[in-house]
Amino acid sequence: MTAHSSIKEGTPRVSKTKAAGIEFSAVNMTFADGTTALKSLDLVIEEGEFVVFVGPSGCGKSTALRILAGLEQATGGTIAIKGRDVTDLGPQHRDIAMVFQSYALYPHKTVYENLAYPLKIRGLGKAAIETAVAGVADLLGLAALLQRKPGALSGGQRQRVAMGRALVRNPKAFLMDEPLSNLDAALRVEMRGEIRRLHRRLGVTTVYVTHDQVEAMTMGDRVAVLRGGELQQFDAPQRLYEQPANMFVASFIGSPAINLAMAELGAGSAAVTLAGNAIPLPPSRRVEGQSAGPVMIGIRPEAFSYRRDLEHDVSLTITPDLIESLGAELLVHFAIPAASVPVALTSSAKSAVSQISLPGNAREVSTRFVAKLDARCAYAVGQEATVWFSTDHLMLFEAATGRTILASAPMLKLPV
Amino acid sequence: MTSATLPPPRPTRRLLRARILTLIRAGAALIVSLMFFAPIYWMVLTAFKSGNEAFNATPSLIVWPDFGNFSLVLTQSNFGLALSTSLFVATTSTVFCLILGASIAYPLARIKMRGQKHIAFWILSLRIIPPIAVIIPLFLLLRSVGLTGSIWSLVIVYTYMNLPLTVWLLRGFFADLPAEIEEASFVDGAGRFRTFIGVTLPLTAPGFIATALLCFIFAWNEFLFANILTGAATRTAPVGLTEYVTPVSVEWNKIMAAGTLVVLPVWIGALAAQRYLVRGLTLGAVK
Amino acid sequence: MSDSISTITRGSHHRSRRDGWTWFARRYGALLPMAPGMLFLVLMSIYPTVYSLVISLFRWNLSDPTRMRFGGWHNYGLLLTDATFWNAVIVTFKFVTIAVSLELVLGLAIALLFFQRFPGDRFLRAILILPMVVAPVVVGLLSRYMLNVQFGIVTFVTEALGFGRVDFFGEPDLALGTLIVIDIWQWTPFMFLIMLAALQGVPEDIIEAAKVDGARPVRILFDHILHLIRYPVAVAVALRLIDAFRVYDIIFMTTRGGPIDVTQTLSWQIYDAGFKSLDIGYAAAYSWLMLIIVVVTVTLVLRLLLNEQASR
Repeated sequence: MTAHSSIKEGTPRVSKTKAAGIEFSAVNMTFADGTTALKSLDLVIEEGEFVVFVGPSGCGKSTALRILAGLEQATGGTIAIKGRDVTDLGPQHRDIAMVFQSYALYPHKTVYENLAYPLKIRGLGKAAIETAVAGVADLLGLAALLQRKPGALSGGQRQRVAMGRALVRNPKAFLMDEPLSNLDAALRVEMRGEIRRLHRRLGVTTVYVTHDQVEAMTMGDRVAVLRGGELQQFDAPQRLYEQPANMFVASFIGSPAINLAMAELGAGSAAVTLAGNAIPLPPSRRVEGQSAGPVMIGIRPEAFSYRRDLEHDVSLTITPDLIESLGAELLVHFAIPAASVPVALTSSAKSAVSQISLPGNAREVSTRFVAKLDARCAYAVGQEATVWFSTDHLMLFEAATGRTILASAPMLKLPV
Repeated sequence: MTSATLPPPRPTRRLLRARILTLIRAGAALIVSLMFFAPIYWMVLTAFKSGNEAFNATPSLIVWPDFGNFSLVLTQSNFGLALSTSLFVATTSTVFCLILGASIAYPLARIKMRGQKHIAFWILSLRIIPPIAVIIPLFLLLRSVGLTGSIWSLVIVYTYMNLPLTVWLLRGFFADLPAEIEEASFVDGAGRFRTFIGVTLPLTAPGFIATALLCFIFAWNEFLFANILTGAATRTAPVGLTEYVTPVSVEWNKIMAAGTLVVLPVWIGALAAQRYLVRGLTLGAVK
Repeated sequence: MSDSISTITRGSHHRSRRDGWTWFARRYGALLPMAPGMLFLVLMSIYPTVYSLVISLFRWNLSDPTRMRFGGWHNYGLLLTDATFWNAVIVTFKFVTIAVSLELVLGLAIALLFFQRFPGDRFLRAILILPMVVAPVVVGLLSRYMLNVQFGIVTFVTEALGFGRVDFFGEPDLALGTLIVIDIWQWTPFMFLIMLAALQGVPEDIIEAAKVDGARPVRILFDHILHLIRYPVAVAVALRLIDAFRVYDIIFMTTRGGPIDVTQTLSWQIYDAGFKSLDIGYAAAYSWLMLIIVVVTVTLVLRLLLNEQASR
């Protein structure tokens, strides 16, 4: 895969200044019932890095984390933590700490005992345990709750105890399996920031699993997008957004989801035709691997503008059929007469939405698009309007595979 | 608030009707419960009666409690010995059941493997076999190793009898415990054994207690095997009871006192573990 | 350190199953604790099964243990043509079906009384539990005492009501019915407990939805609740069937198969053949036939309860 070639290229790994924190080498996982959860996963996580595994359910992200923790035994490949091969070690010998989705607090132990448990197992003295627990309790604001049992805590407090139990010792890595998914929305945003700050402070390699692309984008130094047990792309969040390796990544990252439709690439790759509109491709961007024929086009909702300026040079005439207000911005929905892209190549939940067509035009070939426009545009439902976008923001994908075929666009400047 | 000074609101007709219905239901429930309780009351009452009262044609419903029958039963005959034999056999077989049962049930509940379901169902299916159908081969087997007449033959048979139930129940209790809690312990550095002792066991303790209680009750009440496999010195309480009934004399007040002594410990246990009894009795089908 | 790094750089060619033993221990080591218990179960179940199957094919009476002759299906043929066997089958089925079905109906009825809470319901429920943990031997003795023709309290009641003295265990017409009533007394509480737990497990919103739809309580019971509790009902009935087929202790303490043969159940006759007549080949064949009867009955009843209700 091209996306993570940056890791493999250049001089041998050993001579790098930073040692690899965690390394997956050709890890395979096939369950007893024959389902394949991971296909030859290769991934190197730098020491001290915060990496997020993201993907739809069943993509293998949790399995990858559980294999890293030693809770599942991979059917092939090796796992190394800080240069030590841990493939055949049980979880108790890997020196990692983990925060579970359900928190997995010990319900029969008090908060203090929960926090002390990992230290007690390591045979620390009473005084040392007390100091460590007090430190963590201070850090997370748990000092007043130490004598309570988990049953008497709120969801947010339980989450903090779970974090505390991981923080109390100095593990080689923190593993987090959707740790915020049981919290309400406001608390989730708050804890998101808190986990990031803790990571910056402690600098311990962290692997974080989530199905929420917003969490992935906001938290990860780098994000690994998985699908069907295969790594799609491993990159910094901004690069995932701007230079997705394929249509799946493009459709998974971003909200509202990227607009996708079938289009026709003109001879010599000079222009692409979308719903009858010929869109010239800028000479600065080369099409790789294909010269003409059907392709899939992607335009992010944020790439649209209601007015023409230097950046936005291509126009589309649309008829909005639904307008949702976000306050400063509007989500303007419209249909364009182009065929939809194959569901199999996108993240299915989002493409399902684009499949819905209104009863009136059920027979026409049409695809739903969304534009995120400045609220000043004052468009109205049913009234024809013009939206503009730039060819710099265009993405093209190979029809058969969904692979990105248009060379990277320059930095996308979003309206502030 | 002004409402504090107001008189309580008059119940609506609908509410009133509901209250009357509840009263009727409670009355019916009381009558039914008394019908089921009556024989038990009669047994305990007779246990406190003198010999003459027990044979009285006009029964007395209330008697002055006299513990004489109990002390006679415990001192004058071998019944005290039978009770202690029963206690030993039931306790020992229960302990064996729990140890063997947990060591089968835990892997069965936790470790993914092929054929797991088949093993569980095979074990459960052993419960369908009527004891009378296996008693002859078991009797001959135990006799060939010289265990007939020994307490240990009963311990073995009861352990075998209760093991399927134990495995099935404990498997359910283990499966109910979220695997993540154990996994957290692994990650925290504890091995399988330490996790089992420190996390799994305390959290499934109620299940263990309920299972133990059922094993104990079944072993304590068992008669068929006890009657055939024990000798004069190793009688269990149910077998001992039958000896009170002789063609010559039937001392009902003493029999009822002995019966009360047999029943009392399991009543106390059953009442204490009521909450888990249903689940245990239905092999976990109803929680 | 350097060693492990070189291992990692070999990367994809490397397999985790490098050491057969480690891999085996990690994968199957946790199954090891099962061994003693499984061994015990297998030995204790396989041995009697095989042994009993073998001796059921022999003519073997322990009163003359040296004479053990192969008889093939002799014992089975003898049984199937024996009127006493068929009598036992009928007696057992009468006992099992009447007792278990009445227990089911009564248990459900009592559970409906207790379904909505009322003051003191916990106490009454605790009282109702008591009969089923009474040792069957004690139940037998207690019923003998209470039904005694001379001084039993039930006799006192029947006389007071003008029925005169009734010998419940001695009358051929009454003996089996009496045993059934005793079984009902002891085991209705079991059905009650399970039915109550099952009723409490019915999602409240379904009942509320039916109420809003205008259904009367009886309709709700038959249209919805019975359907929703069919699984616990099936388990309870199956367990009671299995236990009712075993009935032995109470018969031992009371009628001992009599008067004449009206309480001769399968269990009782097997005991009789094996431990009184010492005809163990015959008793073994009898055991096999009984096991087949129990398994077939329980399977059929389970299928009936689960399928018919489901297709409704």
